[in-house]
Amino acid sequence: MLIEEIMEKNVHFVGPESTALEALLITQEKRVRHIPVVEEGKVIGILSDRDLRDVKPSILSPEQDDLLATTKVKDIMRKPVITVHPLDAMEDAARIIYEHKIGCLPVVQNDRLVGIITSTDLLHSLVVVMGVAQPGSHVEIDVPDKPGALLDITRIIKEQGINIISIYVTPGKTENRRTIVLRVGAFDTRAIVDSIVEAGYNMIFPLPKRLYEEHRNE
Amino acid sequence: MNKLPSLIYSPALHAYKFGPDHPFNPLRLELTVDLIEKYGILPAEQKFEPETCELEDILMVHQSNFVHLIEKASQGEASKDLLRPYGLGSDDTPAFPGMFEATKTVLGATLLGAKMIMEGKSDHVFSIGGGLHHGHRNKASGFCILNDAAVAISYLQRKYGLKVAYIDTDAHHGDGVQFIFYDDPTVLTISLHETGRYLFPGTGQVEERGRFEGYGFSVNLPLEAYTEDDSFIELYEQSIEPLLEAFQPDILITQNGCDAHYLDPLTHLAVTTRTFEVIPHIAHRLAHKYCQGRWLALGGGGYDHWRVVPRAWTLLWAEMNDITLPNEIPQEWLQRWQKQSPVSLPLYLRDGENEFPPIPRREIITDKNKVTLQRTMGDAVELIMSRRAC
Repeated sequence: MLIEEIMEKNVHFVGPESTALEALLITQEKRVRHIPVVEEGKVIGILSDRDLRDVKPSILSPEQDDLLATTKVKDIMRKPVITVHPLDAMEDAARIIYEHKIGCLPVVQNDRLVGIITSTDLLHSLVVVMGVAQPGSHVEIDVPDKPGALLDITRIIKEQGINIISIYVTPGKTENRRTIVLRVGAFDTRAIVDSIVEAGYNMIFPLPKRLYEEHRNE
Repeated sequence: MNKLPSLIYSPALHAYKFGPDHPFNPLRLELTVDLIEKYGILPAEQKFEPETCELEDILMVHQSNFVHLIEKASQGEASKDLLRPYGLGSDDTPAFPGMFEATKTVLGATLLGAKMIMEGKSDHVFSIGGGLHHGHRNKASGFCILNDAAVAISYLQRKYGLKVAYIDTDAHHGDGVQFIFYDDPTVLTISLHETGRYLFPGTGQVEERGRFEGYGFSVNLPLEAYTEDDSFIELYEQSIEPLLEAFQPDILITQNGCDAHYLDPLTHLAVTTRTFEVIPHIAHRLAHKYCQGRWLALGGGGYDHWRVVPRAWTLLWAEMNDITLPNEIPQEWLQRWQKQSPVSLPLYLRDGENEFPPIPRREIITDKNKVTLQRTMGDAVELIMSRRAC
């Protein structure tokens, strides 16, 4: 998924001459945590609700009441701002947010602010990608990290005439292994599981149920 | 009042069959009814044959283009491409000749059960072929072509204006019934099932609570894989009574799928017959406490048809009749079926202790289920009480 598909296009922003009070009111009314500072369409800084709270006088010192109203945004904003492009991928934005320990990224195209993406938006995309769009069962397989493993697994599923709803591959629990996680459009997954085991791969879930049968026959 | 419970069954229900190797095998109905009969607790006056279901009753729940497609497919006049968008193109739920009539028999059986209760002929009815809880308004799914529970609930609403409590203890989430009545505050659906994170169909999360007017009237208790008796029973006991107390239903409908058993080949829960005694015992008590005894029990999933289904549903029928059965399975039943069975048939009605090797991670599984109970029950009772119709 690209940023342009998941970004929020209706961005609340302030100018450099705005006051901290104006910015604070926007965060409260619009229920946002970040406000880009924009001058002639360009993003020149950013403010978080935490930056604004730092300016807010303590309730113990009421004599500084007008500090918020007199402080200008340009004097407290953070810069330079890390931004992304609408054609960056979802995973790029996730990596940047994670590495820089920040909460959001303004989206900039032709030097102009066109959107914003927050860590919450990225989590929502994750829910969409991995979520349950249609009825299916969970299948998880441990495979060697070598060409053809994924092909083998998907071919087995195709041969059973079963549709794959979602799929992702994660690093395995040990070196040189991978875990393939699938959601398949099937109620009865026994035929898939048996074929995968027969092809020499290790099932993580579901495990074939033979254990119980053997125990009973002991 | 001394009305006898009724069981609705005839071999006509065997026509609901997807093929010789398909896990949803009507042989399980025959095995179960035969075990009940060999125990000597099914006199002729308690056994009723299903009637068929009228099209108008079906169309109150299912969309007409979908129903007409099933009618065509039933006569072999629908291509795979036409069927696939309606959930009928897979090996799970394939179209078969005569499927419309077969499905109408299942629907008719459950509808007859509802009618018998409301017409005062029986307080408790077991529609053993029913429980097709994955059927959606316009889509077949998970071995279910249409939805008998939904058709019966809709009939009870239209004809009698009843508030219906539907409790689903099949290992799979009761998605069809839940979503058909998702906006409806007069139907409370409660489902205990293996978490959709692992098992089909994938829905049934704690956060699914209904919407609009119906918000608060869908309740889900997704259980961890490898959940055992104690934890299953704890969640059932702690949730059902307060929910019914808040909702004050007029009739109780239970879906009694028995695929949560540890021997079931298609799921990963690990309960024994103990759970299948507790479930109907509590349902029975609550039907009397809140619904003047009105209790319609349905079958459902259960794919170890030799060892699990006959015992689980015999225990259910015995509970309906207030009978405690001896633990020894009748010899006549064992003799009749052992030759055909690929596994050795159980000698006892109830599972013993230590039937299977200890479950690893039992403690954390139990703890996770407790947290699920807390999350689900949080404000569930208050929500129902503040929003229910009087």
